[in-house]
Amino acid sequence: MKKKEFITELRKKLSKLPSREADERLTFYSEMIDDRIEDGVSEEVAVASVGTPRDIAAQIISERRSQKKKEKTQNGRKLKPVEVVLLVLGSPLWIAFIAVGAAVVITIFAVVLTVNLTLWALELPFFLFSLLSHYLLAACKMTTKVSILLFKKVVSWIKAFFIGKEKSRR
Amino acid sequence: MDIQLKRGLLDICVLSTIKSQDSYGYKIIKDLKPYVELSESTLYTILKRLELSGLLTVHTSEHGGRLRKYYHITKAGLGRIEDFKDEWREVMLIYQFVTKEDKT
Repeated sequence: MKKKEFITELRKKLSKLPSREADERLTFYSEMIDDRIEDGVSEEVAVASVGTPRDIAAQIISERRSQKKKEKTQNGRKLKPVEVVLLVLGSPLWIAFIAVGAAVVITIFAVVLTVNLTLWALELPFFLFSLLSHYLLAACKMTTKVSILLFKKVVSWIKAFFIGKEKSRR
Repeated sequence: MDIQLKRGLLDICVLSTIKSQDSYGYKIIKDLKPYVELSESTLYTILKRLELSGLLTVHTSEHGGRLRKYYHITKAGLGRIEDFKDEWREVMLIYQFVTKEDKT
């Protein structure tokens, strides 16, 4: 094969590459062939020793593919330590999580309050007959009061949390 | 040979061919032939990588009525060769250790 043929064929095979890169590679091979000829071999031998356009193109394309893969994984690794943490922290999902947490707390207090109120209601008739009941009722009253107090505190805390957040955002 | 290791060694080989004097593609391949068989496309990839890492620079000069690309080693490139020598001294120590263990 003559050099001209070789270059034409290789150019065709590298048509998918960015034209600048393809040109650069073609110049490289052209120079290689010229230098071999200058070294004293015939044009055909010089072209043959560089390799066939098909093999060269295949190698270039597979090299480029593995290079791209490597770049991709490197980028993926770069993103992981810092940016992923920031992404998670900055995620709007957290608002939902906080809302769910607040709902759970409120539910727990509501249940405690209900149980206390029920006990109180149950104790009421016994109060008339028993002294023991009197103390039980007092205990129930106390826990109810404490529950309400705690509940109020938590509600105001949640309120302050959200309002405070909004204020700091502004 | 391990691909990563081979790649590192080839980089050093190519840098060494231009260490004392600028060289060009075909001459690099010829100079390395007694030690490593290097295909044109492999050499192209290595040269590109070394250029992008700032270990060598490329300039075009006229030669016999045509253009030829010459590769010139940078300070960083020379530093890379020195680093390799230091690293290899460590590798040789490890080699001695490993083969000593083999004998006993």
